[in-house]
Amino acid sequence: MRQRSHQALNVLAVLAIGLGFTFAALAPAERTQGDFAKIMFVHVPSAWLAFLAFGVTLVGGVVWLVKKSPLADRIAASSAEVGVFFTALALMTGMIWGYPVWGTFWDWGDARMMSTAIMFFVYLGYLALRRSIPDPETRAKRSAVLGIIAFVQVPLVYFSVTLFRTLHQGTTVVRPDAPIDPEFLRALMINLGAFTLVYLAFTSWRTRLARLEDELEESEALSDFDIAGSGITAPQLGEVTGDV
Amino acid sequence: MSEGWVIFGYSVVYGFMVLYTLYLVGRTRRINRRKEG
Repeated sequence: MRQRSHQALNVLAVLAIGLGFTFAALAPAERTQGDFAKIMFVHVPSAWLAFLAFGVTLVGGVVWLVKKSPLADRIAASSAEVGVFFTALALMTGMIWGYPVWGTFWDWGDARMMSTAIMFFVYLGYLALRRSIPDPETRAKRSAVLGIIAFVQVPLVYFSVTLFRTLHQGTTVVRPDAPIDPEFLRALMINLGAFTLVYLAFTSWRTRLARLEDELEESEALSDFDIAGSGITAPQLGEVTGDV
Repeated sequence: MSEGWVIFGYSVVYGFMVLYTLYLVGRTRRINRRKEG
């Protein structure tokens, strides 16, 4: 039953991506940018889903610290991995759009680009930290703390366009006087819904995989104990004799 | 010219989605095989 609902989610995500692509392809060319603006239909949802993913990592970390629930730790880790994936997509599509429109793939002085790149590397560090700690409880505790602290970057990245006046354009969609055509907004929102389904499908799959990894780790640790168990004795410090 | 960049952008997005799916499929199979073996 559960397996079937996961498969249904995967199928739904694929169909939604197809629908999103159709609406993006049918959207009219933008007045000044032409078709280049259509890259925004995948760039903006990628960035928003990265924020959502890191938010879930934050919540998962808090829940683990309070309840010590292994599921919360698995969801936090899986969401961080998928968040890194979406951040990479946002950075790449931003560069692909930036070259023909701005004339450059990257601007080292731009607040939004640099803060997003830093966020990408910090969450890569989160994933590296998890791989470097073999003990499950220590791993969960340290990554929960990092997941909470690292979330500070999300509002910084989001507000970087209003805090600093650099190359990247300011907020557009959530402004009350949003200067966006309804046809563009519709294509953007459908793609946002499709990307949300992709996020849910990836994160739930990665969480199930994390459970399998934990079970394997546990069974391998138990089999090692069987082999070494009778061969190892505790050190008898009190019985040391002779000259030292 | 603009079409080429747009196609490239969408190919990157969908291509990486497919690659990540293949990674999940491969890793799930590998872990299941190690659990059974």
